[in-house]
Amino acid sequence: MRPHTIRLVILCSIVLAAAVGLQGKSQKLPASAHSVQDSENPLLSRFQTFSATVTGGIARDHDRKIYRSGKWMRLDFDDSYRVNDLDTLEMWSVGANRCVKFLRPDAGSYPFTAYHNFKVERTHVAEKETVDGHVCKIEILTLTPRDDRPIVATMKMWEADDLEGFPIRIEVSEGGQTLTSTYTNVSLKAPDPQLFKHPAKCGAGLQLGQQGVVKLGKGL
Amino acid sequence: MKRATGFAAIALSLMAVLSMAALPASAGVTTYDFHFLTTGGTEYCDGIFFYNYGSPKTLVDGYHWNTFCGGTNANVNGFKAGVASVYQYAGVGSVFLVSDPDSGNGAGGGTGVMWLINPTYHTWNFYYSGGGAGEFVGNEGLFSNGLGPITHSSTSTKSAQSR
Repeated sequence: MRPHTIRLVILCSIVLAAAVGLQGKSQKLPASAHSVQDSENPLLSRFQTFSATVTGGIARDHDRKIYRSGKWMRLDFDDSYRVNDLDTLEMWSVGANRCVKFLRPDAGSYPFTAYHNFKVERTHVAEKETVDGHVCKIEILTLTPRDDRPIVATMKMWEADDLEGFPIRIEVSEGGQTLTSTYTNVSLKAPDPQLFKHPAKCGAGLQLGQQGVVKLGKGL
Repeated sequence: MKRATGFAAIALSLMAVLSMAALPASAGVTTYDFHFLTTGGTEYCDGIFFYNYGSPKTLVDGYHWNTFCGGTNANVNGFKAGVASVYQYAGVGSVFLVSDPDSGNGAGGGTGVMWLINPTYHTWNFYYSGGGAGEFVGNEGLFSNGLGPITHSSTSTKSAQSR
């Protein structure tokens, strides 16, 4: 073997050893977990159609019906419903005699509409847990913004084996607080498209500039 | 002597004017105390009491009463300022921007809430903080403000925040 070939082999060995060493240092996860980068939040890319009952979340919802069909997500209220556009994050609040459009999503759509367009690192934990009678895989998402905002959120999802991995429990931790959402009565069948109908332009009910409740006295 | 008396009079007048400007003029204080109402006019169990005062009259201080129908109050404060109508519920122009700490949710620091209360159109809505990742719409509705403080009780069992 020529001397320069020997030097090349030695150099390659050093580089290979260094790479293996660095990889070992970056792996802080337990041996039973593996991590992958993803460009999209799996909450949005998977589970394109479902209906369920949600409890908890950012708005402390309690037994609220939630439906998803593609980019539309609906939440039911006593005398109205809200349709969220998961792409634009706009929301229409529609009642029998009113309609109002907001530029931000309804709180009940959390965490599906949270951390929009963030970077995602997915970690699958090997151990399984049983939640509400469902055997679940556990996945942990680490979400960070694509800009320089100092935000790091972790989303722990209990994905039910018998519901094609639908997360029946989601815990989101960020900034020292944890919010939990649970989903029951989950169906992965596509909801009736009629549920997501909403006026393209709100034109009924209380409108911009219309008085709400007439004042009772001089308090105003 | 006449000159000294003149200076004293001017100084006294100046002090009087300054002291009047520093004190909140009671006539300029407006009391708000109302139940949050649904968009259809139905009463929620909770409401808000606050004074609008100051010079300029843009200060807000008070409390959110019967929060989550639990009988407790949360101190709130804020300012009156203009907010784009696209962020309001059917309102235009200035609103009372009221920060409410009592919407604390989950373990840890709690979730911030910002109320937008439009005194001209008698509408309100609020937003939940997204912790820097974008806000969420909480709820919206109407209100009517009376002559002064009202009884802070209700037969309703649903709060504006529990929707």
